[in-house]
Amino acid sequence: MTEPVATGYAAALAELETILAELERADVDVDVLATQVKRAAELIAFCRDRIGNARLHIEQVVADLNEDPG
Amino acid sequence: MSQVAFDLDLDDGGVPTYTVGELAEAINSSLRRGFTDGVWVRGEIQGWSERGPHAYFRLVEETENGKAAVNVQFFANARMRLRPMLAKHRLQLSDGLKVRLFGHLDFFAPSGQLGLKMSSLDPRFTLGEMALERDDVVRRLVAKGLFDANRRTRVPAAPLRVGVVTSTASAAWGDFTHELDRSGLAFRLRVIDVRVQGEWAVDMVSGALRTLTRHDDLDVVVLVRGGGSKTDLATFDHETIATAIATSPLPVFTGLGHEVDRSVADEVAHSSLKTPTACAAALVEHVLAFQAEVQRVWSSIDAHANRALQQSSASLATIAHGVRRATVSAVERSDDRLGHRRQRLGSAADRALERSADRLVAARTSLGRVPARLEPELRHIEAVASRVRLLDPVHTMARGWSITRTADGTIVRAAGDLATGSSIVTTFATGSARSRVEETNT
Repeated sequence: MTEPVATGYAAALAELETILAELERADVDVDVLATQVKRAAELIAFCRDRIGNARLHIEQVVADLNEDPG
Repeated sequence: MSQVAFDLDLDDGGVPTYTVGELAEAINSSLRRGFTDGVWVRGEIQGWSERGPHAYFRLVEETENGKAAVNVQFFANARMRLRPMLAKHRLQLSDGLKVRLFGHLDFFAPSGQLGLKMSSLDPRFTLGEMALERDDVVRRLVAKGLFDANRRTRVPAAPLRVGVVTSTASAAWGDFTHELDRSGLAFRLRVIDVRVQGEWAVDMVSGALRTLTRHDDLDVVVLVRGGGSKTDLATFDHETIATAIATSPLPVFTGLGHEVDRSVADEVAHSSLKTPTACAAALVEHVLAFQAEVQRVWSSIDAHANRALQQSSASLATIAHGVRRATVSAVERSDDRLGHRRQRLGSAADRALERSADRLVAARTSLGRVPARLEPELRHIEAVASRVRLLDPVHTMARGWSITRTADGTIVRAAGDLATGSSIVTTFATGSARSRVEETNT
């Protein structure tokens, strides 16, 4: 990653939406296009990772709770 | 005087010549014929003198034409005879007294003087004259606004500091002090010894009164004397004494020793008592009344204080009882409330625990549903990813598209942007090629 994904999932998603809007414009610069696509890919990977981690964590917690019904 | 008809030898043209003895005889004979039964004369006594049992004085009248006077002899036998009558009217003959008297004229040959042998006196005249003079004095005092001035002064509550004008050699002084001593009260006396009768009495009494009434450390001034003749009492009818009393800032008490008559001094004094003893008794009475009043007030204060204390004590007991009752009651109520709260606490805790357990179950259930809620998010990310993929030029160039740039790296978007002979760089999906422009068609 060339740039750390800043504050978290919500911020990453917002940046991703901004990049998409720029890429879908007609007059987008090809050079910028490549850079932006690369950044978008990073953000997508970050978000996927976060979602996956969250799911795992929650499932673990719920499992723990179910094991200890005190 | 008419010509006396003596049978005498005439040796000078018919005018008789008397020997001195004959003349004296003739005068006396003539006087006896002219004033057969004696004569009444009125005037003022002056130059009173006593020689042995006899008394002599001049009877004087001040007239418009000057002074007229006649010598009077008041011999022992006449004095003896008149004494009961004078005593009855309490008259004492002395200088200044106006009298109407009866006597026989007598030319006393040895001294060649005409005199009046006094044999009687009209007491009503003297008394009337005294009354008239007294009335004049009273009238003048009233006109000056002094008549009741001293009666308007206030006797202090306890008149213990007493100024006394009296003759200390008299029984009056003895009676007065005896009465005060008898009371056992702490009277403090300041006395001025004066003559209360005779020539200097008026000046001495009025001077003493003026001196004492100027003292501001006295409560009252007392003027006392024993009994005396009516004419002695006339001293106290004198305007000078009456004025000294009337103008006194201190109340003046009189005790002039008369059961019946009141002098002008008595009239203008704050209080007039019949005797020195009565005068002292009046002062004692004032002080005793004050003592009684003080005692009464003190008793009243004492009673009020005791009543107030009893009431306060009773109120305090009531309050204390109330406090005790209220305290017991409050403690009991607190006990009840505590028990009640203990119960409520138990049940409330139970209910709270139940609610918490319920909420926990619900939370667990919700939590279980969370991963499912991540699915739409993931789908959204995947959609974004496919859109990004579509836009990636790598895929476009893989299908045979290329990018042409000038020598300085500027992307060429139209043939017209190129000059013939210029160098260009073409980028492919893999690799690039440099070439030169031979021709452009726009």
